[in-house]
Amino acid sequence: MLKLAGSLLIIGATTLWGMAAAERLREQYEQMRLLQSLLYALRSEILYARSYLEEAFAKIGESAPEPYRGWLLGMSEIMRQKSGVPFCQIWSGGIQESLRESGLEQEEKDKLSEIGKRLGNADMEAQIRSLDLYLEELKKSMEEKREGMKTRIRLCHCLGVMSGIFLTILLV
Amino acid sequence: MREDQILHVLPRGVRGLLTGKRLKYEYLQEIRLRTGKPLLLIYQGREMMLHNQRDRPYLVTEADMRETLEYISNYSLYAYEQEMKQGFITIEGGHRVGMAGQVILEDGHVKNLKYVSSVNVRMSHEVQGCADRIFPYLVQEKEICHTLLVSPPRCGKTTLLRDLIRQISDGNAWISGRTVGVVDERSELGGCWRGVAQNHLGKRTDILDGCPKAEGMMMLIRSMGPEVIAADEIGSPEDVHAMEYAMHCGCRILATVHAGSMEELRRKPLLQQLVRKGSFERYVLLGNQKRVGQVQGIYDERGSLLYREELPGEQAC
Repeated sequence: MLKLAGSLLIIGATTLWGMAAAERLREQYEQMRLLQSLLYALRSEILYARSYLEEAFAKIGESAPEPYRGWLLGMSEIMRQKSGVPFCQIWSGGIQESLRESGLEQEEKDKLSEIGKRLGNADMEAQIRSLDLYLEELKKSMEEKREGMKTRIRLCHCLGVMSGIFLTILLV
Repeated sequence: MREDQILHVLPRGVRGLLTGKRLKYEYLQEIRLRTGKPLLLIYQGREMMLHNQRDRPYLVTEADMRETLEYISNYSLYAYEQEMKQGFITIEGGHRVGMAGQVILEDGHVKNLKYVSSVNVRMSHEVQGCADRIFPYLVQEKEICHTLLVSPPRCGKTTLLRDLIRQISDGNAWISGRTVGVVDERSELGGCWRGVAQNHLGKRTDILDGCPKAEGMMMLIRSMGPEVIAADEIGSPEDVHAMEYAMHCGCRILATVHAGSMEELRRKPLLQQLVRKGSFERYVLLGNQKRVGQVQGIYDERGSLLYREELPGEQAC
């Protein structure tokens, strides 16, 4: 009797662990999608409204979910103070601090940091092109992730249950 | 307030030096930064150099210039393409930051500035009350007359126009407040920053900032229902036609034109017609021999002299 309860517990635990891993994968994809929509909004603000970056960040940040809200509003505030830090530093500093818990992979964060060097210049077209290029790459990464996601999620679930059964057999 | 507005666009190194100097910012007229050259201030009409800790003149570095540009443009130079084409950006407070450097051409016209090597921060300058003396002559039967300010350069016509707009908009002892529409093509009258006038133009004033005069006048008439329209430096045929249209719509016109005298005005082909038709009811002639803002004469549509400033020892406008 006790063995049955124990084995059920083990299988339950590992299944849950598998489901959590699957959830984390889904979360990563969701974060990328959020980032994509925020950057599209930034692109529109720059291209059509010709907003200043400070303005654009404040506007987009207001309706964005955390941690992006904190990131954008934080950057807007630093820029308003005009404390002498060059823009690319404000951008990458913000990514390192505010987006640490975002669930985005380090590779994505590095690519995002790179754009900071191209924003704020006088050449509107070059900026838009850089943003477009980044958004293209982001889209590609997202597609790759989505394709791999289904199989990986199933794998996680299966592994969860299987490892539970395996452990049960081993221990019980 | 003014101090913060100015200090905010200067590089950190310069900010420290300026705060150490304890200047009265109402007397500060210009700050000139040139790469590799000493920083110059025009304070109370005199030139001043800023010295660093070792008592040598402070030389502006390239990094200083880059920092200044970032602040002036709010880290977003792309948003200022129009302004860069004209060579200046207006910052909060209505102060004008002029830039010079290497120009990028497109189709033979200036597209943008590439390397900015000189920056000139010119403080905004309002003289409230400088129109007090001439106001009574511009009012007839409790209505403001179509007025043309005629003046050579640097005689204070923009400052005078600004004060006239303010007084008409707010109302004064001679007339009640009127709705005024201002077409500020060169952003000099209002010194608009993010669309809001930084100079005092009155409670009932609407401004179109950076808008070509002819289009602007039409837009204002159609949308804001002005009783008075003001524009600086009319000269082209479109401006003149738009003004005549505005006059037909019942708006009173306040305008300025470059000319040294009434005779010179009559010689200009476009304005000659207006003068002959008697469209303008008052002509205010400005000069600057004795001092800036000197009113040499006010004439009516027939050319009769209504007022002439004669006493040399009058209070400066």
